[in-house]
Amino acid sequence: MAKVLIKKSNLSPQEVEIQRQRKEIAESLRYARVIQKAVFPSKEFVEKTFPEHFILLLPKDIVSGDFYWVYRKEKKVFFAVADCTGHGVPGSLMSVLGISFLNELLARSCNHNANRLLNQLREMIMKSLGQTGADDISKDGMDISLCVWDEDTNLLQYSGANNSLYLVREGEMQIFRPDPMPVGIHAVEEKSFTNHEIYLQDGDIIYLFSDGFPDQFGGSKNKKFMYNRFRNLLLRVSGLSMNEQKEILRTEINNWKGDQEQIDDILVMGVKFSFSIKF
Amino acid sequence: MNLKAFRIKNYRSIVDTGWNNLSPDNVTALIGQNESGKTSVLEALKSFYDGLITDDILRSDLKMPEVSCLFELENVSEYPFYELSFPVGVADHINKEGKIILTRSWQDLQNSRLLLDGDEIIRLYGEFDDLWMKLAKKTIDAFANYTSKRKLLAEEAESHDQQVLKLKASLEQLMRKTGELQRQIKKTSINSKKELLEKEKESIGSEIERLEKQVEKIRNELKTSQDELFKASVILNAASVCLGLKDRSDAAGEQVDRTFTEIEEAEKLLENARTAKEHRHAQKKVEQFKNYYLQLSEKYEQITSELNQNLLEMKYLLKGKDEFEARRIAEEEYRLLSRMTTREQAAEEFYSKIPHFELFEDFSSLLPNRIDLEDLFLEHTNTEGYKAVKNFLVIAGLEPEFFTQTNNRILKQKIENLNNELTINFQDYWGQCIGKTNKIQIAFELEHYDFQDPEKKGKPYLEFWIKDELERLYPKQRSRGVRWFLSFYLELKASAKKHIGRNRVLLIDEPGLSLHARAQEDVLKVFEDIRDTLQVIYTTHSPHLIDLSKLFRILAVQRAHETENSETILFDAASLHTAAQDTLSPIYSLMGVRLSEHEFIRQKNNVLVENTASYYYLTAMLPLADMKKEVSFLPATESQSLQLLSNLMLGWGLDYSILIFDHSKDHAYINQLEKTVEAGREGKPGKILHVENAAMVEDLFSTLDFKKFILQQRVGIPETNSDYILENNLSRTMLASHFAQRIKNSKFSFADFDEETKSNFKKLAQRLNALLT
Repeated sequence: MAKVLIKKSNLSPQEVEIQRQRKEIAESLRYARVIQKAVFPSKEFVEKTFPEHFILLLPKDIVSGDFYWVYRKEKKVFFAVADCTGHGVPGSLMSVLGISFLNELLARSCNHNANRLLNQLREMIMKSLGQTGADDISKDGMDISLCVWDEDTNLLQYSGANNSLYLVREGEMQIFRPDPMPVGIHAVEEKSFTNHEIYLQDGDIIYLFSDGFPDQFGGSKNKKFMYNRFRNLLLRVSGLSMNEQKEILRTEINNWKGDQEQIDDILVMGVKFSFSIKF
Repeated sequence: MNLKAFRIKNYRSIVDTGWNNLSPDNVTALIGQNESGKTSVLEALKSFYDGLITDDILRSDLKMPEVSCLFELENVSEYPFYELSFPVGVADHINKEGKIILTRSWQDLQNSRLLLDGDEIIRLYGEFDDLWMKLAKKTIDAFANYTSKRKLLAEEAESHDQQVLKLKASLEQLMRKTGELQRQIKKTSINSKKELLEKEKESIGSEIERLEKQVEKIRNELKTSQDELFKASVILNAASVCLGLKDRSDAAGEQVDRTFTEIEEAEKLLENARTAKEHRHAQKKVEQFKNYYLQLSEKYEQITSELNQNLLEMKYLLKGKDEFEARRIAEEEYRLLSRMTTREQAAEEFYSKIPHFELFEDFSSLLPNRIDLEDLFLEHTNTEGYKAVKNFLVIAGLEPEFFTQTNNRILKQKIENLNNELTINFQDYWGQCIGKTNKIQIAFELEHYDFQDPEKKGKPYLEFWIKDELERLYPKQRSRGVRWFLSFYLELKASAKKHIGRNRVLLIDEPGLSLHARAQEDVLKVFEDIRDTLQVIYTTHSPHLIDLSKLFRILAVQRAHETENSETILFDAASLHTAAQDTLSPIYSLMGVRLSEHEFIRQKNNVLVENTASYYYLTAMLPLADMKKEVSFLPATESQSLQLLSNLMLGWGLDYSILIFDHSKDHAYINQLEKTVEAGREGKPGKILHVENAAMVEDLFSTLDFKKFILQQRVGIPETNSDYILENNLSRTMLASHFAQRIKNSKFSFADFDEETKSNFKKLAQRLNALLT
C-alpha cells in the first residue's frame, strides 16, 4: 500500500489526469459492453431456438462491431451474423442500430423474404445516416448474412451483403455467395439483394461469420488465415459436437494469431439442423 | 451579350432568390399565385437596368435592394480589354469564363451603383486594393530596418576611419626609421654592419608595403561602407517622406469623414427646421460643409496621390534602383495604375453592351384612345398608354417636337401623309383573322379639347384609331386581342428600331391577361417566333401560356408561409415538384386540358381513377404488364370526386369501373361509392376494384424502383413510397408526368424494373383483365 502511494506521489499532475481519464474510459466501455450484451439475443432464447449451435464471438476491443441476431415470429426463425463498419465504439454503436432496425422491421413488416428484409434494412440505415450518394457525409454500413428458416417447410432463405453462407451436408461443403454490396450506401446505385432458397435436410450445418477469422494475420509467415483454410477447418470439425467445434476454432485462431495483435472482431455462428425425432 | 441568370435581394417580398437560371431557349415563364412575387421579379430586373426604384419596393427592415444579373459574352467586341487596364487576373478570368456578373445595389432611393461582381473578381480586385497598404507596410518596415542599418554602417565607417589613421601613424613611424637607417648606412664603412643595416631597412620596407596594402584595403571598405551609408540615407529620407505623407493623408481622410458626418447632422437640422430662419441657417450650414467637404476631398486626393507615387518610388529604391531611375519607373507605373479600371467603371463598360431591358405591362403599354401632348412632353410615364404611344411615335419616326409646329394646317397634312404609311400586316404575328385582308391601320389625329372639358380647354391631345377595310374604331372599342397584339407589335418594332445591334430582354407582366384561351395560346406562339431575336421573361398563372413539353422554361414563384416574413422563393424546373400545389396549378390545369384533348372516353372499359398521378402511372405501366384489355383510364380530380364522375358516366350510359387504392382509409366513403354504383346499375354488381396493401399507386413500385425511376434520387426510404411523398410534400402529378414521359420516350423498359414492381403491376393487370369485358 505504501509503495503504491509513493509511486502515485511520483506521478506528474498530467500523468495523474491521464490515468484518471483512462480509468473513466475503461469503465464507460465496460458499461457499453453491458448495454451491447443486453440488445444481443439471450443465451437461453438462442439455445431454445437452436438446440445445436455455437457462437464464437471474440471482440477486438471491449465492445464489438460484429453482432448476431435471432428472432422468432410464429413459425419462422430469423437470424443473422453481421459485421459493422469499424470496430470498438463506432462499430458497437452501429451494431446496436442494426439490431434495433432488424427488430423494428420484423415487428412491422409482412413480407418476410430475406432479401426484402435486407433491402429494407438498407433503406433504414441510409435514412438514419443521411446517406444520399451525393456527398460523403457517411459511408458507414454493415456486411451481413441474413437467414429466414420456416420450421414448417424447412425452407431456409438466405440473403447476403458481402458475407457468404457455408452449408455442410453429408461431409461436403456448399458455398452460397453474397451480393457484393454492403447494407448502406455503396459506390453503385442500390440493387435488390438476391434471395437464395435452401431446403434443409436432417444433419445440415450452416455457418455464418464475419471476415475477422479468415482475415486474421499470423502463422509462421505472418499471413492471413484465408478463406480456404477457414473452410477446410470448418469441414474438418463439422463432424464434432457444436461445443467441440467452437473450442477447436478458438484454439486454432489463437494459435494462428500467436503474439500478433487481433486485427478485427471475430464472429462465427454454426447451427446444426436435426429433424429426426429423438427419444 | 445574353442574360443567363439573376439574383434578387431585398425587393418587396423577396429577401434573396438565390441564383436562378433563365431558360436556355430564351423564353422563361414565371408562374405562381397572385401576390407570390412574380411581378416583383420583373420589376427588379427592370430596376437593375434603369436603376429606378420607389419607396414601395422597400421591405419593412429597410434593407436596400440588390439585383445581380449574369450575362454570357457572345463575341470579342464585348470584351473591353484592349482599351482598358484591369488588375492582374481579371481579364484572364473573364476571358476564360466567358461570362460576367453585374450587381446593382442601392444606397438610397435616388442613388445606386453598378459593380462588376463575382467571388473571383472581388478577390482579384481585393489584391489590387491591398497594393497601397502592402507598399505602406513595406515602407514602415524599411524605415525601421534602415534606421538600425544606417547606425551600424556609420559605426563601421568610423571604425575604418580610425583604423586608417592608426595605420598611417605606424607608416609614418616606419618611414622615419627607414630615413634613419639610410643615414646610418651612408655613415658606416664597415661592410658587415652595412649589410645588417641594409637587411633591417629591407625588412622595414616590406612592413611598409604590407601596411600600405592594408590601408588601401580598409580605405576600399570604408568607401563601400560610405556608399551603403549613402544609399541607406536615401532610402531613409524617402521612407520618412512617405511616412510624413501617410500621416497627412490619414489626417486628411479623417477630416473628410468628420466633415461628412457634419453634413449629415446639418441635413438633419435642415429637415427638422421649424422656422424660416432656422431653415436658412441650416441651409447655409449644409452648403458651407459641402463646400468644405469638396475642398478637403480634393486635398485628400492630392496628398494620397503624392503618397502613392512616393510609395512606388520606395518600392524601386528597395529593389536597388538609384533615386532618379526609381522616380522615373514609379511615375510611369503610377500613371498606369491610376488609369486602372475600377469595378464600377468596368461595370459601366460592360453595361453599355448588355441587352436592353423593356417592361411590357397592360396599363402603360396598351394603345390608348387618346393621350394629352402635355403628358408626352413632360414625360408623365404613369399616364395610361404612355409607352404604347412612345412606341408608336418611334415607329412613325416622330419626336414629340414634331407637334410643336405652330401652323395647324401644315401639321394636320403631315399627319395625314404619315397615316397612309402606317399599315400593319398582322399575319406574321397573329394567327387570328382581322377583317378580310388581315391588314389594319393605326391612324392618329391631333385634336384640341373643347368646352366639354373646361379644365383642359384648348389643350392638344393625340387621338388614335384602329382601322380595317370595314370600320374605324378607337383602340378600346376593338377586342382585347387586337389591342394587345397590336401594342405588343409596337413594342417589338420600336425596341428593335431604338436598340439596333443590341440584344433585348422583354419583361412581360401577365401577357394577354384578359384574352380568351385561344388568343393566349397565340401569345405563346408569338414568343416562339421571336425567341431567336430577343429574350422573353413573362409572368402568368394561365395554363394557356405554358408549354407542357417545355417545363424547363418555368420558374415557379411562391411565398414561404412557414417563414416569419413570408418571403418570396423561386423553384427552377428541376425542383418544380417541391413547389406548392397552388403554385403549380396552371401546370395541373394544363395537364387536365391536354387530357381532354384525347379521345379517351369509350363505350366500355372505362376505368375511373382517383387522380392524374394514377392516370399517368397506370397508362404507362399496365400496357407493359400483360394488360390484355383495351382500357381508358379517366382521372378524377381527387378520390372524393369519383362519385361525381361516376354519376356522369351513369348519366351518359357508359360502361365503367372504378379503381381505388387504400389511400383514403375512408371506408364509409368507399361503401357509399359502392352503393351509388350498385344503385346506378340497377342491382348489377358494382365494379369497384379496391387495391389493398397500396395506399397510393406509387406503392406498386418497389422502393428501389421508386427511387431509381420516379424520384431519381439516392436516399433512404424505410417508409412506404406514399408516406415518403406525403412527408416530403412532393408533387405527385409532376413526378408521375415526368415518369410517364420517360417511359414514352423509351428511356427504360419493363424489364428494367425489379421483380417486386413487375409482380405488383402484373397482378393488377390480371385483376383488371378479369374485371373488364
